[in-house]
Amino acid sequence: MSKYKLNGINLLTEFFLMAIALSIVLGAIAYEGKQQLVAWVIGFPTIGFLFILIVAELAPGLLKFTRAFGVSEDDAPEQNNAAQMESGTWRRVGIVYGWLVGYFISIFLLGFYLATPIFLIAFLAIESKLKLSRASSVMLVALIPCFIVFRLILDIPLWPGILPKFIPGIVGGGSIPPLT
Amino acid sequence: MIEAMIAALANMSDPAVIAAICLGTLLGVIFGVIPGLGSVIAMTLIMPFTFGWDPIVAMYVFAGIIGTASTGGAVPAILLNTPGTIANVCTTFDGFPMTRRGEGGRAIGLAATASGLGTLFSIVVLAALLPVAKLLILWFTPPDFFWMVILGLIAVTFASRQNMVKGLAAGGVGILLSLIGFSSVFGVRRYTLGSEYLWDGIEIVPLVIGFFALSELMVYTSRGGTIAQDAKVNLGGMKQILRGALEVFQHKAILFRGSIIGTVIGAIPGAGGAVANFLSYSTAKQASKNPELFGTGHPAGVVASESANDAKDGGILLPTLTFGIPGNGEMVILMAAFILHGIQPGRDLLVNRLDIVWAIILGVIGAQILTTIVILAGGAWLAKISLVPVKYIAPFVAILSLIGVYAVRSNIWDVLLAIFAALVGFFMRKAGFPLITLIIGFVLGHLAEEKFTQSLQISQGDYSIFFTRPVSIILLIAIVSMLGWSLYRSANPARANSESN
Repeated sequence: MSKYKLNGINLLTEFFLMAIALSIVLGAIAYEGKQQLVAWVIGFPTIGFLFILIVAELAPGLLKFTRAFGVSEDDAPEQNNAAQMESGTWRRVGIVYGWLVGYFISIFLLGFYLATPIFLIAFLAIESKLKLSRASSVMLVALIPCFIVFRLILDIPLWPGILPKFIPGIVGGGSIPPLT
Repeated sequence: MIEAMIAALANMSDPAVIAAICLGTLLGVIFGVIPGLGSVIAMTLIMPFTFGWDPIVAMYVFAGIIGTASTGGAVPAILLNTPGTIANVCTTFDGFPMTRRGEGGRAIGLAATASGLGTLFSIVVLAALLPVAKLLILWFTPPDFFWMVILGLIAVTFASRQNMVKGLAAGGVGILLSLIGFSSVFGVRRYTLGSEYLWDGIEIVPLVIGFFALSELMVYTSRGGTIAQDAKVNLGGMKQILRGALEVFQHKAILFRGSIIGTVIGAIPGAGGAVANFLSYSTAKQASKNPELFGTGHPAGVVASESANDAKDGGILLPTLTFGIPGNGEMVILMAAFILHGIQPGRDLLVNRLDIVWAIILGVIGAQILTTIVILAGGAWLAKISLVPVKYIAPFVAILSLIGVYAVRSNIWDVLLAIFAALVGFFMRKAGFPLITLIIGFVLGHLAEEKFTQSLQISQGDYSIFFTRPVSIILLIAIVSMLGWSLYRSANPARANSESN
C-alpha cells in the first residue's frame, strides 16, 4: 500500500457540507410537527452519506467496508490525484479568486459604474498583459455598448456604491440592504 | 394542444420573438464554439437579464441556446481538432482528418446538416409524445411526485457514473438548502438564523451563477492559455460545404439511427449528449461494412456523431417539461429560469402553460435552422473565436455574471453570495461532488416537501401511502434497481464494467 496522504480538499468539502446538513437537521427541532419531516427524512441519509465519505477519507483501511456503499477505491486519499493540484495552480486559483473578491469590494465601495472599468483595465493590463492604452481601448469598446444596453435600453439600475452621493443613481449614495 | 401550437407559431412573427431567437442562437454558437464555455454558462449569464421580460420571449432565448451550442461545438472539433463541447468529441475523429485532407468545408456541411436534421427529428418525437405525457402525468398523485423527485436525483447521479454517495449527499444538501426561508406549505419562515436576507430563502440566480459560471471561470482562468490550438483552417470553399450538406442524405440509415439514439439517450436524466455521441459513433462503426474507415476522415463518422449529439435536445426536454426533472446542466438552468419567471415546471407547465412548452419547442427548431445557415456560411470565421485566450474572456464573464446577479433583485448581498458560491462550487468540483445534483435538489426541494406533506395530509398521517400506489411502486422499483446496481458495481467493479461494456 502506498504512503497515506490525506486529501484535504475532499475532507474540507465534506465537513462543510456536513455542517450545512447538521445545522438544518438540528435546526428542525425548533419547528413543530410536519415542518420537521422533510428536513429529517432527507437530512439523516445525507448526514449518513457524508459520514461514510469522511470515514473513507480519514481511514482508508475501512475502504473495503465502505466500498459496498458506493465509495470506490478511486476515492482513497492516496490514490485520488484529481484534487491534488500543484501549488502553482493553487496560487493561480487564489489570484483569480482574489480578483473576484477585489471586484466585489470595489463594486461595494464605488459602485458598478466606477468599479467595472477599473477592474477591466486592471485585469487586462495585469493578468492578460495588455498595454495600458490597449486595455483602456478594449474597456471603452466593450463597456460603452454594455452601458447603452443595460442602462439606456434595459434600464437596469446598478448599485452606485456606498460612497456619499456624487452622481445620483450612478456614483455614491447606495443604501445597504439589511443582512440581519 | 393544437391551439397552443398555433398560437406559438403566430408568435414567431413577433419582432421580439425573432430577436430573442437570434440572441439565443448567437450566444449558443459563440459559447459552443469556445471550448470550455458551452451552453450552461451561456444560459447562466443571460438568465438574470431576462428577469422582467415576457416569459415567452425569455424562453425563446433559452431555447435558442439549447438548440445551438453543440452544433457550434462541431466547428472547432472539425477545424481545430478541439471539441467545443464534450458532446462533440467523436466529431474530431473523422472531422479533423477531413480538414487535414483539405475537406473541412465538406465536414462542416455534413455536421451542420446532420445536427439540424437530428434536432428536428427529436423535436418532432417530443411534440408527438407530449399528448401522451400529458395523459400520463394526470395519473401521478403527490406521493408519486415525491418519488419522482428522488428518482430524478438518483438517476442523474447514476447515469453520470460519478460517485453515487457524493451525488446523493450533494442532492440531499441541495434539498436541505431549499428549505431555508419562507415555506408556502406551512406559511412560516424557517432556518433563517435571524437573517432578513434569508427570509425569501437562498436566491437561485446567485447560487447558479456562482456554481456554474464563476467556479468554471476559476477553473479555466487558473489553467490559462487557449484550449484550442491554432491550425491552418482549410474549408475548401462554399462548393465543398454544399457538397457536404447534401451528402448527409447518402447516410440516411446512420442519420436516422443517430437521431433515435440521441433522442432516447437524451431522455435519460444524466446521460446527455456525450453518451449519445459515443454510442451513435460506435454503433455506426460496428454496423458499417467498412469499419476501418472510421477515424480516418469518413463522412459517416461525422453524421453519426453530430446527428446524435443534437438529437438529444428533444429527448432531454421531455422529462424536464413533463415531470419537472432536469436531466443535465442545461435543463437545471432552464428550471431555474422557470422559477425566476414564476413558472412551475412539471404538471402545471404541461396542463396550464402549453404556450411556454411550444415556445421552447419552436425556439429550438428556429434556432437550429438559423445555426445551420450561420455555420454553413461562416464556419471558418467561427473557428477563429475558439482561439481567443481565456484570459481575455474571463473578466467579461465575471462582469456579466455579477451585473446579472445584481440585476434580479438589486441586492448587493446577492453579489457576495455568488462569489461565495463560486468558492464552494470550485471545492465541490475538485472533491468530486457533482454540482448538478445539488442544484437539482435545490430546485426540486420545494416540490419534494410540498408533495411529501400533501401525501401525508391525504393519508391522514399514514406513511403507507408512499408504498401502495401503483406509480409509486414502479418508481420505487426503479430507485431500488438503480441503487442495487450501483452497490453491485461498487462491490464488483471489474465484472460490472465488463458487463457495461
